[in-house]
This record gives sequence, structure tokens and C-alpha cells, in this order.
Amino acid sequence: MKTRDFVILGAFVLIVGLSFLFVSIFSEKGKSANVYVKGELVKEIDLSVNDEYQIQEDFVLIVENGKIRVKETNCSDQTCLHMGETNSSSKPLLCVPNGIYVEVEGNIEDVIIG
Amino acid sequence: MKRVLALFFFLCLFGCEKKELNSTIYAYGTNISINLYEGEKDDLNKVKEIFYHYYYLADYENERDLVNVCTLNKIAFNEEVVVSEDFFNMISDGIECYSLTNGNCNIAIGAASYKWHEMIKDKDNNIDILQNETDNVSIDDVILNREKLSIKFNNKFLKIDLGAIAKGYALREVIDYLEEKKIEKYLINAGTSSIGVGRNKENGDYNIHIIDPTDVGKTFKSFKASKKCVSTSGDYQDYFEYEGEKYHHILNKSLNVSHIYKSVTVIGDDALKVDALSTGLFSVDIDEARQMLEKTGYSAIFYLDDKTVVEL
Repeated sequence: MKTRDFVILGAFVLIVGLSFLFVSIFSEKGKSANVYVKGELVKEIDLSVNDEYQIQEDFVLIVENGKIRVKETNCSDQTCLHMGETNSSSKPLLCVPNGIYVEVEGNIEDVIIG
Repeated sequence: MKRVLALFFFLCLFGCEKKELNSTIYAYGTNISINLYEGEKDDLNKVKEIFYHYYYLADYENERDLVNVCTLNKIAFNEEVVVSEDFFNMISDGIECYSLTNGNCNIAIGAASYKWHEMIKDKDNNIDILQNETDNVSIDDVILNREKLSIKFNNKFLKIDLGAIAKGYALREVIDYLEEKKIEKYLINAGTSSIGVGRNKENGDYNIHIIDPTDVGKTFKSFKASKKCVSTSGDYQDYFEYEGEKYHHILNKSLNVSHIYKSVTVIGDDALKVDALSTGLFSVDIDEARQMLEKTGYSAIFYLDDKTVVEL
């Protein structure tokens, strides 16, 4: 009886351990950025793939080496263009005139204000 | 045996991460990202509802079937307009921001501040014409009657614009709600210029980094904070340049733009006051700024036009 209990427990621990491992490996690989236009989620971008994304006319995002930045914008102040690249949840990209907000998924401990 | 297994299941459940409640909404001309690490879905919905509620009340252009800013600006000259209690409090607290900032955050110059926003879009630098819009309106021309919950304007040029403070007002209401529900782990990021931080997911402080106004891809100052509101006003959002001069969006008392600072960041408890001060401090010299801050006990970080940084 006792031995069987240990076997069951052992198997249980193994299954739980493996599933945690699986989940952590799985979640590591897909770092992505959410693009909102006026509060509406319009695109989810995989940061592991180098590519360009036209969000609207004259507004283009580009992903290079795991980082995302604004490539083209028609906005008046061009502040979003100057924000540079990001791969961190603490540094969203914001284009106020176009109402576009790009947020990288992840745990937030750092916040950028300005 | 059963007990051991039950304990195991319990531990597993306990170990599972609780689902986070995140949402991004568009209001007050910006994207507001709401992150709650405690609470229920209903709390997230309530937070969104509060943001939208005050956004609609502060709407300058549309009435939205409400009695709001747009309604007052249409009909309140020489007429007592009865409003909801929420709206009355919003206006009355908005008026208090005037004395808090020595008149540098003035909700009564709406005609000028609204026009200036339109002019910035068109890159029209003829800022002197703003004088004609307000024709000596005074904040005292807004007549409040708390018993009747009515508001009246004594000057026909008076238009209210809550643009500088509506977001801060709503954020304060949101934080009051979260405190009431004992939700302490949260981050509300209202377009990166106003934030309300509780504690982070691990129950610790957040690291806050202020954007460098001369290179917005970088930050120039970092500090830790929890259970605070932080607001920044800067000359690098919502501006245009004409013949080397920067025309930003923050109007001073003389209906012009000041070039004392490139950004001002205020840290304090009350989101409304923090928001109003970041606007108000932007237009006054450092001595007057110190006096204004002393009244509240809040701290501020100034990035001056000559790139020096002053902390008060």
C-alpha cells in the first residue's frame, strides 16, 4: 500500500514538473507586441520574425532582431519615430496624433513616463 | 493517502498564476492601459466605465445625450444649468486647480486652449489671436450653486475645457475605487504622460523612468514608487516648430507658451492635483514652482531648457 502511494505521488510530481517545464519553454519562444489603434487591438506581432507591418496609411512598424520600432509615420510631431526600438513591456511606443499604441507583452516592473 | 493527494492538488492550484486583468481603451485622446494583478473581471469593467464616464462628461465637441462640457459651453451663459452631481464635482474640483497652480491651470480659458490645439494641428503659429478668444474671462465668471447643482457663466466668451485635468480626475476616481475594493497591485498607464501605480505583481515598487525630452528614445532619470500618481508635461508631445521656435501645447496665464522647461514631472497622491500641477508648474519659474509644491508636499523633477535637472 505504502509503496503504491509513493509511486502515485512520484508520478504526479513528475507530471506537474513536466507540464511546468513545457509551459515555460512554450511561453518563452513567443514574445509578441500588441498594436492598438484608438484602443482597439488591430494586430499581434511576433517579435521573432523580421518583417514590416502597415498599420494604416503612412504608418509602418518594423521588426528587426527581436525589436520593434516605427519605420514610417505621417504624424505632425514625429515623436513616435524618435522613440526608437523596443522589446520590453516597460517601453511602449506611442503615437499620440494617430492614436497608435504598441505594447510588448511581459511582466511590468518598469514604467516609462513622459 | 487521500489527504496527501488533496494537499497536493491544493498546492498545485495555489502555485498556478492567477489570470491578470488587462485592457487598453482609447479615451482623452490617448490609449489608456489598465493592468490589475488582483480583483475580478467586474473590477476591470468598472475601471473602464469610470474612465469613459468622465471622458464623456469632459467632451468639448459632443453632447453625447448628456449634460456635459459641450452643453455648458452652448447654453450656460446667463443661464443656470442643472447638472449631475458627478459633473458638478468635476467642475468644482477643476476650478480649485486654478488656485493650486496660481492660475496656470485654468479650465475657463477653453475657447483659447481648444483653438490652440486646432492651430497646432495646422501648424499655425499666430498665437496672439488667442487673446481675442477669451476677452478677459475670469475663473470667477463660473458660478456654482451646490444646493441646486447648477452652473452658470457670467461671461459670454467663457468656455470650459477640462483637457488638462479630465484624465487626472478620472484616474483619481479609479484609484479611489481600487482602494475601496482593497486592490493594491495595479498599474494604470494613461498615455504614458499620467500613471497611477499601486504595487507590482510581486508586491514591490515599480521602477519609473522619465523620458529624456531631447531624445525620446532614452530616459534621463529613474526612481522607485508605489501607491503614487505621476504625471509629466513636456514640450515634445503635441507641438510644432516654426522658424526654430517650438510651439508646444501648454498655454500659460498670458495665453502664450513658456520655454522655461522641456518637461516637468510631478509625483504625489492625488491624481488630479498631480495632473494640474504638471501643467501649472510648466509655466512658472523655479521659485514660484517651489512655493506651489510646498502647499501640497508633492515632489517634482524639472528638465530645464538648458538641459539641467532640478528636483524639488
